Amino acid sequence: MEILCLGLSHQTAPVELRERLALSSAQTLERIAALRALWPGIELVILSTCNRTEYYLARPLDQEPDAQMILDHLAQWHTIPRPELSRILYHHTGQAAVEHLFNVAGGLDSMVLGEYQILGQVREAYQAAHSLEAAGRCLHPLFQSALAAGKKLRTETAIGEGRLSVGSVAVEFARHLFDRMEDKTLLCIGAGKMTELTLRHFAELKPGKILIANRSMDKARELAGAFSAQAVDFFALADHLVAADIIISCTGASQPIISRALFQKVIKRRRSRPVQIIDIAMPRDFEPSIAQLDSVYLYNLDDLQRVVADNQQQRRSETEACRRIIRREVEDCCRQLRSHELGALIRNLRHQLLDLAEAEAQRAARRLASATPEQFQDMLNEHAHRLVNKMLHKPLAGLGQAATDHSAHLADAIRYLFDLEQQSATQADHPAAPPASASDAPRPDSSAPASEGLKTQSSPGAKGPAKSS
Amino acid sequence: MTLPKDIPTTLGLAAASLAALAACALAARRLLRPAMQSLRAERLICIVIMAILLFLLTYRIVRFTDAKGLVHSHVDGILLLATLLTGLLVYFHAPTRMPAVSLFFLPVLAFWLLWGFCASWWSYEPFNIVGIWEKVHLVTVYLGSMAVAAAAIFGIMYLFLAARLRKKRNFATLDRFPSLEAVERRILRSAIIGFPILTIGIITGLLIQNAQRPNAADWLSPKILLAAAIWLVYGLMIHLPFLPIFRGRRAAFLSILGLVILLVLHRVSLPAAIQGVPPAQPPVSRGGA
Repeated sequence: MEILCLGLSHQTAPVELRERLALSSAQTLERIAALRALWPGIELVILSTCNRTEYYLARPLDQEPDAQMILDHLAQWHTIPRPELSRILYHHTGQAAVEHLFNVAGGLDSMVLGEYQILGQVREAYQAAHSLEAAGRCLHPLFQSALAAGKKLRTETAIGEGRLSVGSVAVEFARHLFDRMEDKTLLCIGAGKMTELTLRHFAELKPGKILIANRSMDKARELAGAFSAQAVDFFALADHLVAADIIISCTGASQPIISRALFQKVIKRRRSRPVQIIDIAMPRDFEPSIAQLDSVYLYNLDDLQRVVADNQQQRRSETEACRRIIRREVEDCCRQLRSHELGALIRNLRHQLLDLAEAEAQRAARRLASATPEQFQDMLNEHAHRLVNKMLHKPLAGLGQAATDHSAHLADAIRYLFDLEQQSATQADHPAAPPASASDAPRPDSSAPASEGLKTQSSPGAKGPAKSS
Repeated sequence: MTLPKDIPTTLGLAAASLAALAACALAARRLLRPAMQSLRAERLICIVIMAILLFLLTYRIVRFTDAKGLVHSHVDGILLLATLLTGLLVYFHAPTRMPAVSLFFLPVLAFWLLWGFCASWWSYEPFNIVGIWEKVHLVTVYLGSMAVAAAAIFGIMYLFLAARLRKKRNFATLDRFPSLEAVERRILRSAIIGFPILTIGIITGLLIQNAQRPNAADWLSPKILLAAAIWLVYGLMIHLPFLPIFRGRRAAFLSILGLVILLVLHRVSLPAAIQGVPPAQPPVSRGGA
């Protein structure tokens, strides 16, 4: 089986094209069914996220479809000009396809290096294909190995550690400060876009109460409605500061709105309970000296962005270790796939030849039952010839029918597998007697059927010495 | 070189000390490396230490326990403390709890075990305990010390975490620790557990002192004053929720102060425990019959 990967990602295509090729869960299932209806022998998994859409396909070697055929179908289905599509699509085959999948599952190909969400998305894509029995003996172990490798990266390296957005870093600070959030009050000062983005992260912590204070009450109410929060009077800020355990501040004020003196009174009224302040305004809303007060943990935009930069650097430094792990896992996976495939092939070959041998043995036994002892040798010779002819019939017929390039590969394979190179060399040094023709062979019994169409002309090396071990 | 008074005890404490030092190294390595490290080795070592200490405790109870009670000597007291601390460590090592605390608990455990090893070899002396109050006093002193030590360890952890949070750098280290609020709660919990035990210890100590018919100056001995100081410190700490001035870093400093006073108190009171309580002086008669 050959593995193919065809797809596009944020690295090769703009969002306008990515969204045209993106598939929902239902569309993914339909697409798998449609492609398998066109090519029934294939295995297929489709991974479609906001940043990539990829088709992972396994098919018998040198059979349809190839990457161009799939590209043609995609161009037709999504009504995108073929040249444009071929410009943004990449494709990998074999081990390169396996390595690409492992990199994707490990988050090494993601927009946010080391992100964990992709592992779940790969798992969902595999499960969707599995539900349609589209992931068979090739893609099933491949995706299992990819998921295991993705998990391994996260346990053995720090590729997934550290937050990479200002809002999530602020939330991380809150988690390190507070144990429970259900009894905490979150106060937002300002109702702009930045506040909303940061509040979106904090809302995941499910604080007990969210208060929104803004000069414009309407805007405060609008933002409060989106987060089940309470809009409060901006001019009673001092009272709200006392109640707040977490404060997110982003107003458009040109000077600090909260002074150290004011906040000292707030701390006293709060009975020194710790408070976290996220001041993402520019210029800052809180006087910097407030950070020196006991029980106050004040973070401004610079602090948060510095942490983001540290985390990004840490993830980048883990990339090399991740790639080493991926390379090792890819080699193991490919070796496993090859041995599975070979095992199945050998079993099938053996069954086929055993069936054939059994049929011939039964025929020979029937004939021998009515033959005289003098005829035994001739009959056994005939049986051996018939068996060899039958075994070689399909391979030699296929060799003759194959296209020139392909027949050269097949011929090389036959020489290698049957060790005919050594025998050819021996024959060249010591030319053997001319090959026996059909007239030289003992005349078969008249009741025996003719051999099945196979030419008896043997190749020069066919009767050479036995292959050395 | 003099041989240890009891070789199995010394050998056991030596083995436990080495294991604790190895666990300390593993915990430090886990803190310094950014990638997640398995806790399995540390957990296993803590369980092995626990097994050694439980065996030693049982052995010593069977061999040495008599009328003197559970704490036969200072070595037994240290064994008891170390066993309780190891039990706490094993508890915190459970996955849903706070495995990172071992970084702070293990050095204290290693210190106590080494102290016990040295005491068992070079300065071993049994306590001279006679009455029931002495026995109760000794047990509560050691149990109370355990609570004081736990509070101090959490106090040190609090200061470490608060400093890291104020430093505002990446959280690879902090991810393995509980939140600041959780640590402060544990300081309070240790104080709440330790305070009644210390109170019983002080009361029994006062009863012992009173039985010796002391004069006024005896009540102002360093031992009593230090004991009173610890009791006051922990009395303040259990009121943390109501005394905002002692919250946060101040609570951490108080807990560490309590441990320092306790260590001095141990040093001061150990010789007296070894000598034992002198018999009560007969009352001075005031005139003849």
